[in-house]
Amino acid sequence: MLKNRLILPFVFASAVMVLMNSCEPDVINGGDKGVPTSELELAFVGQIADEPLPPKGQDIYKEKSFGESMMVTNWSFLMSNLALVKENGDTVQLGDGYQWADLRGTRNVFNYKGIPAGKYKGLQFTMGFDSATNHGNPQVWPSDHPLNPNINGLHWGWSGGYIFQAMDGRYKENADAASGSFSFHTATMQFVTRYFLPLELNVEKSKHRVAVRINADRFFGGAESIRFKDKSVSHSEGAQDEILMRIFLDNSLYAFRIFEE
Amino acid sequence: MQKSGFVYLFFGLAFFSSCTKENGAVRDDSGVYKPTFVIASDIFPAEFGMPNLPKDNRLTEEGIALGRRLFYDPILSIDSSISCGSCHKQEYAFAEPVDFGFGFRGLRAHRNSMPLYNLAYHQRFFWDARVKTLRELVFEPIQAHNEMAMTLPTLRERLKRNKGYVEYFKKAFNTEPNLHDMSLAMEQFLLSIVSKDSRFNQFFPGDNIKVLSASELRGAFIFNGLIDFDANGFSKGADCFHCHGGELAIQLNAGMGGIASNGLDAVSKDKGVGGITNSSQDMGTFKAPSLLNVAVTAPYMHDGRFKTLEEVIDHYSEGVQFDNPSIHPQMAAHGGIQLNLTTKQKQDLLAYLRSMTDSTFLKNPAYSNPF
Repeated sequence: MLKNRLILPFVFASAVMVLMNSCEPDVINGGDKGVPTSELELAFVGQIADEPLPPKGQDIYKEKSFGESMMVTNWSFLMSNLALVKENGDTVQLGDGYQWADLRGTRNVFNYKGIPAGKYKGLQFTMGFDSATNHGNPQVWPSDHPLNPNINGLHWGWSGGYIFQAMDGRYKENADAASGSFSFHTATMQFVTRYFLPLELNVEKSKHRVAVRINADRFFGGAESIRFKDKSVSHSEGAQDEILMRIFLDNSLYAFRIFEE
Repeated sequence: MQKSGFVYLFFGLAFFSSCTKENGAVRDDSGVYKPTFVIASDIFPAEFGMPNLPKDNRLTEEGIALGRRLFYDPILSIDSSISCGSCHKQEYAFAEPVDFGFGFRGLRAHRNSMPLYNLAYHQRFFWDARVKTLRELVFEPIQAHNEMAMTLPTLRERLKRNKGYVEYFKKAFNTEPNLHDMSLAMEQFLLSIVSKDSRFNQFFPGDNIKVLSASELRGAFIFNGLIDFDANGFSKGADCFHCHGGELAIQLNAGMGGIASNGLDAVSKDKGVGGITNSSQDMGTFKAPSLLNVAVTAPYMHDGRFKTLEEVIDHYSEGVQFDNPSIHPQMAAHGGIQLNLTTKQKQDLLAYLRSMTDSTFLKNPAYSNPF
């Protein structure tokens, strides 16, 4: 419990959103020879209002802003450039840097070996990919690779490109109201988003566990809020869809928290 | 140099050894049958990607041949009257043109027969997604009282007494006939059934537009939600691809539409996946089938309620029951407003769906009845 401390109350505006064609940081795979290494268990945990998502299949709505309540039925996202960031800014790429976190499924905890001992200042990843990866042949990926569309189900199909993040669910305006649906699918290169989550991590034990907790409700409440009653769908294409997706992603900067457990 | 020489020698030997194994003789010097391993890339097209095949049941020519024989053999039913192929007919993409199949003594199946192809890519089976492997799947219709009504001890003895199967099991597994290997052989045959040659597949991922007519192309736009934008700038289109997208025309991720309620009824009589999970959210949800060959798999839906594709399109256009509490968010995403496709849009969508028929697959002798 002592180590279950919140590094920062929120992920500040240090989480930055940039296009993928900007400069990439240097990536170190595995670190220097001779340096002791550790194992990292990295978990991505979905939440609403700082509480775990109710077990799948239970009809439990959790309150979000504006009095609406929500239930998440599907939520997963694709990452690239997944890496720990050392204090000096160097990065230690986790695996091949790609991952698919399925927050309503069973694929949300990942183990990485060979993490070099030392002090780290955060975790970075990009939600989405560079253009070549996004629009390349998705069938080149091995059958168990996170980018294989047969695994993640997050490829648009013939129009090309991936859905970087899909969050779907139901909402109610109030307890007595009939439920409606919401669906936010992030895609297209303009919405590739890079995140940096500050974390004081001193890798010295044989194994460390880090949890990234992500609050679904915060995607809809921020500087500009999204009221499902008014707008409940964005597929990232079309003028209004794009405006809505931009709000969704701007708000997402405050949705991530990271802990060492 | 010396080190690399050893490396080459090692890999050379490994390659040679593996080649020998892959192309092993039917029978070795001691008379023991050795199966002929099938190269997966010879079966599964690169365009589909490599499926996650079971590591403990490598495909062999002998295993597939045995599985095919078992699939079509009526001795798997209690009165030797019905085979798997009775309700899964190749010319209908291994579905059948009745709402509920006829089983032992004319009893009816509870749900419509699902088509069988490209199953190597699927992660769950049956309309209610209750089974995760094909080797488990095969035991269900065999034992169902209203389908093949067989008991496993009887089946085991029947296979053991059959001289043909004694030979076939020995070739495939070097064992006497037994139920475990029976299920593995049938799994191999089912995994080997591939449909990949429709014009839709030639068109995919959308850059070979010559293979589709103008009407089919317009249908593709409707199918993929790429037509028009409404007055407020929100995307429209039929959005079929969410549950039936990709080159396999199926969504394999359950959460993304692989399992969904499509609003057939306000209250579902059939619990579907909910009958397995007991979850209120799953009530009336079903596995979304692939739409490859959909033009030959009538009638449609889990209960075969729609006799034609036109009726199916009418349902999605103006018949969706948005009151269904389990309706998939994608279905209800546009505020519960019916699509109301025009007659022309419906015709275009229908044309596109018909481009998904793979006539080569429907006649492929590798999948036909060997008896």
